Amino acid sequence: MRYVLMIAVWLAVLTAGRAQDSDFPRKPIKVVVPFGSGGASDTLARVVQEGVRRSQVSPEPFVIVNVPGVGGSLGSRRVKNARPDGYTILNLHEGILTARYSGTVEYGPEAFVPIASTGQAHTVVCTGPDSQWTSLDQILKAAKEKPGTLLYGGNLGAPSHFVGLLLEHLVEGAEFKIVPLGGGAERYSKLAGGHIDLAIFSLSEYKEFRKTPERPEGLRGIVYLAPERHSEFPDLPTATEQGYDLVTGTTQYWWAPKGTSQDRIDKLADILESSMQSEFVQERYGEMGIEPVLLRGDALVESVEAADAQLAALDLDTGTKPESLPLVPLLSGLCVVFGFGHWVLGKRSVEQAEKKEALSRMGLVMAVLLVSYLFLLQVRGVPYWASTSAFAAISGVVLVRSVRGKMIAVGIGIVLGVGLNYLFKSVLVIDLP
Amino acid sequence: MSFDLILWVALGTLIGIVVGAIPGLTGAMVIALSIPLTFAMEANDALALLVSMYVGSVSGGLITATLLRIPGTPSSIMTTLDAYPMAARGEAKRALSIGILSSLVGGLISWGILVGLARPIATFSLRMGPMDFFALVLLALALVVVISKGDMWAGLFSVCLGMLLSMPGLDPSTGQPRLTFGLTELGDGFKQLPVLIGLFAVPEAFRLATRAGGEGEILSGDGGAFLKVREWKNQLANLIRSSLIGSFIGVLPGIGANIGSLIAYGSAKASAKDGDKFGSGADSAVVASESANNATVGGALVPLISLGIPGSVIDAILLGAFVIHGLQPGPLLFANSPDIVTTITGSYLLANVAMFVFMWFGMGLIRRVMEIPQWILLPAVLTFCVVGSYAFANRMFDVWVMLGCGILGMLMQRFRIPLAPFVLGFILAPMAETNLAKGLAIGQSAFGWFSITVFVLILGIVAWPFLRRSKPA
Repeated sequence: MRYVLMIAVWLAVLTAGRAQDSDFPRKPIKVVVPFGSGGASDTLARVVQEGVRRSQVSPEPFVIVNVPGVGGSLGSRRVKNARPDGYTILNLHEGILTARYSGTVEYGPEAFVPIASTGQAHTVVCTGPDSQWTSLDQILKAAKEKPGTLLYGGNLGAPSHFVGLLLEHLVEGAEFKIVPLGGGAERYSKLAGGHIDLAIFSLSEYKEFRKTPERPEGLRGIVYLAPERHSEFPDLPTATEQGYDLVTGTTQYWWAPKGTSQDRIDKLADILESSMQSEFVQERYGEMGIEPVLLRGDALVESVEAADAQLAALDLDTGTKPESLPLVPLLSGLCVVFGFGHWVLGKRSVEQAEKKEALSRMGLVMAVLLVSYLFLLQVRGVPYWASTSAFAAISGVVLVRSVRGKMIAVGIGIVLGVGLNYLFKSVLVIDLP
Repeated sequence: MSFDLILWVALGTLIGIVVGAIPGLTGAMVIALSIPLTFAMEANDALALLVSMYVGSVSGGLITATLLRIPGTPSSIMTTLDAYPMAARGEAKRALSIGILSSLVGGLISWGILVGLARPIATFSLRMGPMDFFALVLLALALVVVISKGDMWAGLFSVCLGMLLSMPGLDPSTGQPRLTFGLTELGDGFKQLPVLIGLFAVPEAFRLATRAGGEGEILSGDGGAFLKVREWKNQLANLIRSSLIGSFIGVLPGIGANIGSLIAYGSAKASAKDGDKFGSGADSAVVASESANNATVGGALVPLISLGIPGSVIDAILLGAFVIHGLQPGPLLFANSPDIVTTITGSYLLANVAMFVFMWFGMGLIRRVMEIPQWILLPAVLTFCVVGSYAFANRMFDVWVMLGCGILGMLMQRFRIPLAPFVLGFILAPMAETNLAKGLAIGQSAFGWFSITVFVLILGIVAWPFLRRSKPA
């Protein structure tokens, strides 16, 4: 009877826990950052992550998982397909919108539930240090008079490209020539070297690269695309003051897969909010020129919708599209065929003479072992340390003849598996299969 | 310079060497992943640690490149070409000592440039436009074919195959995915690291496996001790030239670190007395490659220090570390807090010395890598390759790519097609195409005296073998 009661109580506790979900999170939360480690997005996410740790609001840590590629879409797709349990979330700025408008992915923010946004930075339009232009008006007029001659540097398909399109859109008939450039540092070096005419930067990049007496090759700010001037740069006018209604920037949004329960979304938003309030995050944001604005709930949805509406207003089918260099793959393919032909003609006699030893039995055994090990990792049925130890131990045992050697091989296998597991999971905090 | 700092430099260099020597782990990966570990450290100590990891990792690649023919990073590909044959014929000690000493000299010379000439060089490099970059990469591609050992056609075939493998991914001129065959995972193309270690490490591992019976061990003998002073005198010009090439090419953001050692190798082959022995274990080749690849590290720090522009992937990660430590990156940082500049340049110098001390006196230990039985080495190498490929972008796709490239590498070796041109083609083609796309978007003004000069040089290089052949012998 006592046991039945205990089990009943236990069950009750379990179901209650599930219903209220009060003990979420019970394991580390994976934050997918769809850019490489060390970049601007990654740095921001890591600052918030450290804020989560310092504010001690969450019993479990945030773990950053970098999934770089295709302007953030490899990572966003992974989160979109993840289980909606709140343990896998995405950190991605307006790139989530631009990826769809540029045609690289077929989904947009509607495939996710927004959790919160942690901080935003408005955009600064800049020219090189010795540019002939000093105002947005002049630039847009020049772009209208001679369409397609002003060189605008932007990362194709990314927000920096779309701001260029938004700028063109301000004046009927204005058109830039888009030069495909990468991140802020590259746009800066091309502007400073006089290779392009204008580009956009985040406020923190502008802070880094602006023209000062010590840095004559620095950027010249034209307009700040914000509702009002920034207190640190009172001389930098807004676009609105110059008669053009354009406000845009980068907002650091956090997303969960569609179907995540509202309880967990709220809990995650709470964690992010406490992190934002920590001294650490406030200080870092101040240094980086990022406004520590936290949006959640309705304000958040409005912010996403406003950004989406801005891009939707662009008529993306008009204007000159960048052309590809279709010949490049074709040419390298032709070269392969050509080189192969030459090589076969020249080599045939020599090859006959050299009898290669066939892949030995040992090689085959190893190949089978390796492929089954990779397969185990792929299906994620077995923990990383177990499959790795097994692989290393078995292949060692197969390769060595003496019994003592076999025992040592097993030992080394286990040390390797467990050691790598510890190194990557606990020290370097990487998400292993 | 405090005692703490020296300790951090020593620690960072040691970690860097170990990481650089393990196939599958790269400096960039470990530096990026260590940044959160430095949260609790003083900014100066953290930077010293990270910079010395950078130096150590470039130098550590020398060990596996020499002893196992597995380049840890693209910058040690050229080293494998000659240091491995040298080690294979029993002169491992000689190959390592040449490599280590050249690395030190390369590091020191580029330190001199970093300290003395950073500002003017960096300002000059700003004026180099996309077409100039394109011309340089094309020069490197032309050199790959010309310097590939033996059959030039096999080299050309290999380069083109590598270029073809780099084609899937984002089209740099339109930003749209191309040749992905509907695979979203292929949207960004094949990544460098899995291709590199798959191609080199997997075939080597299987070669070890098939040899497990015991015959045909690589010799770790003492053959060929340190170079004599007289021999070093002969290499003096080569050392200085290669270090200068490495330093100057290293300055160019995005392309320098990879092609510095290649161009130094090419020019050493053209001017060295043992030029025709390149590819089969020539001293000058190892000297050129190793001094240049260490020099690119100093070169890549030049734009970082004087302009706040990262010169390489690792420098970009370092910039990220500044932010976390509450330092505003960019030129103002260096104007406002000169102590940071001192920390970076100082730890760069110290790390080079520490690298030399560790590797020189650890050489006895390092050489014993060859004595490790295959049944220990092989599982370890393979597991590291797997975890390294995975950790780069946290996906299994890259691990399968590594396996596929491993099979490709075995096939290529079977048919005697050199591997190095393949990887270089794979790495260089996207750089060439991206810069060409930028240059064409900019238009006519992109062509300057520099690019035109280099284009003429390339024509000369391409025409040279034909001209020489048509001359009566």
